[in-house]
Amino acid sequence: MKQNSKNSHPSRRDWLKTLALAGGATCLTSCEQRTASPGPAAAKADYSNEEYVWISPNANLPLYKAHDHPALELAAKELGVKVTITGPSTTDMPGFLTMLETVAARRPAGILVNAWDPAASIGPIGKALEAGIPVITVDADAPASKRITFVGTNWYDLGVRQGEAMVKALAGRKGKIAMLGMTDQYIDQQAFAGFRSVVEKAGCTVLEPQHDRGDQATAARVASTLIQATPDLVGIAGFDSESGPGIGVAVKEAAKAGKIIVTCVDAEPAHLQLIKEGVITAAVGQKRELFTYLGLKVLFDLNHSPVRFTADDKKAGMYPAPEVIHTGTYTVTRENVDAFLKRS
Amino acid sequence: MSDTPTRTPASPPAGSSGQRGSFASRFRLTRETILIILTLAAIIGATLAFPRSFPTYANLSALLRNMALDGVMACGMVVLMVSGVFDLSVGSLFSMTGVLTGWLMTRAGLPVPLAILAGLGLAALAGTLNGFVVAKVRVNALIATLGTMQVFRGIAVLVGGPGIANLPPAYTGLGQAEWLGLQAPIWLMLAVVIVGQFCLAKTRFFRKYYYVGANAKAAHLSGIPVDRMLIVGFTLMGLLAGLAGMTFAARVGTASSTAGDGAELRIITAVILGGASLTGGRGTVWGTLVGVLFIALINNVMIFARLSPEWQSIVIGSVLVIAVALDRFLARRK
Repeated sequence: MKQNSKNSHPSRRDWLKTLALAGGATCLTSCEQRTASPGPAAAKADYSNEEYVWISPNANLPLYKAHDHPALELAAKELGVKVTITGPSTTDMPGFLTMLETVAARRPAGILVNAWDPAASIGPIGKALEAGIPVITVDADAPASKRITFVGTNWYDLGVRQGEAMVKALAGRKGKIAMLGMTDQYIDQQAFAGFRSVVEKAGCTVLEPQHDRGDQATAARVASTLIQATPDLVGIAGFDSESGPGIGVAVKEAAKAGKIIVTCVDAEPAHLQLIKEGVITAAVGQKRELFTYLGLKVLFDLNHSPVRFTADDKKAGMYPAPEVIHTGTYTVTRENVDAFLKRS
Repeated sequence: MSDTPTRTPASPPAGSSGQRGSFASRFRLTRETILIILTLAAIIGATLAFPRSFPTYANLSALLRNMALDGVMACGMVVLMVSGVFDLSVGSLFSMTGVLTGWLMTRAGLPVPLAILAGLGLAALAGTLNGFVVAKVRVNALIATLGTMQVFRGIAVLVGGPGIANLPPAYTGLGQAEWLGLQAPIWLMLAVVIVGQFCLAKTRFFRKYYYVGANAKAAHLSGIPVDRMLIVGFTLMGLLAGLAGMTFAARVGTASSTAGDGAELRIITAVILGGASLTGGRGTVWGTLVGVLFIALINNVMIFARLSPEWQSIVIGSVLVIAVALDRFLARRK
């Protein structure tokens, strides 16, 4: 009875004990939450067993090795995770898709896919996501797939930017303008459309795009024939990294430097040299390093972000990342080429 | 192959350019003559369709410039194909030699002539490696050169990265030089074709390749050093691919590690169009030159006609199949 009365009427000591326990529990809970959240404490956590995979066709493309791969490794170092760079050394799409499925079967912590063939990539991307692996696309997007985020250049805007540079350099001159690039690539097709939207409005006729197979020699061959075949050609625009140097050689050899305006994409040493010589008028560069640097951070956040939108974000199809991150472009002309030459 | 391996090496088999006969028999309907007829038809058609822009000196010059380095490499490929093998690594060798030579002169600081010699030496060495693997290790040429194609491309990317720019003027001057209005690559092609045609048609050593290709076993039994000849053939191919790659780098002023991508199939197509056979024993340098000219011409005319790039592949592929099929049909009728 005594005991009962004691239980029904807790003493001041009991109250204090209860408060102390509750306070301690609250403190412990808050400490646990802090440990799980990113930030300074997260940086100390060990993620060295987490593997993220970058996969692309033509995985050894010099452009990737010079920009995309080092930035990916830099981000991996910052986050303390493992990265694997893989993909066929050719443009063999079936081979690439098989490799993508094999990579997904290994169940990495996330995959960055360079979706050269957007339609063909839909299936493997979907399968990887169904298996619970976060997948984002970088550089080349597969918008119809279920990929979580795309990080890369807005190619339509890149085309617009090239078009603006072309129109500015033509200074009111009218005539025919040729386009060279990988005509079967979705991103190039977007860029062609962007370019057309500006240049045709300025009163110029844009010819059907020609395929240069991503090869300087082919670009030179096609451009030199275009120059002969089109007497009223006033400009040539190149849309893959090898187009610019190839077009530049053809224009130089036809002694048309300055008469035929050349614009192109990417600002590698060969492009810069031709800008310096006055053969290429403008090169629109991509901030390639950001594709993989930001891409890996997005994937890491998809696994570790404390941001929640619903009780079960995965079930609701909500992700703590934007659907598209456009990394922007920059234009190199004779006015600012020296700064880029010093860097290269 | 219809060529008999029992002939003596001094008398080359039918299908080689050393063949003697009446005017009519020499100009019978072979793959070479079919190709010449098609080439002439394309030239006449394009001249009629584009009278103001196609038959001009500037277009001819551009056409020759565009086919020149393929022509140089095709001369090496025809020797290999006459002996019954081929080399898939030529496109990679093309870029690797350009990149290594560029690296030697810009990064290693080697004087230009020395870097050129070293580049050619490395290209020949790479060719010898191909030949050794095929002839001595007995690895099928397709597999061996498919492997080295990737090795050489990998080396080019590893050394050259996105490309080696700012090559010395003493070097670029060689690729951009002009004589009688024609650029250095065109002269290089003409020199290689003339020497190649003479060697393959007139010299005892090179004519042995026809016997190797017609029947390697019989050639070996009749005292021809088949293995050594294959190694020499691959070395020559390496040297010519390297020479072409260096000339291209000098022409454009940049050594690109992606240059020459896909060149191997274009060149093999040209050599087959020009009369060679994948099984060996057939082929001539002049026929090969016509094959290279035909492909360059088709690409040129297609651009004049504003046809989409896909049509270029369709036309060249169709002509290849039709020419070979017609050739086989005519051979069976005989």
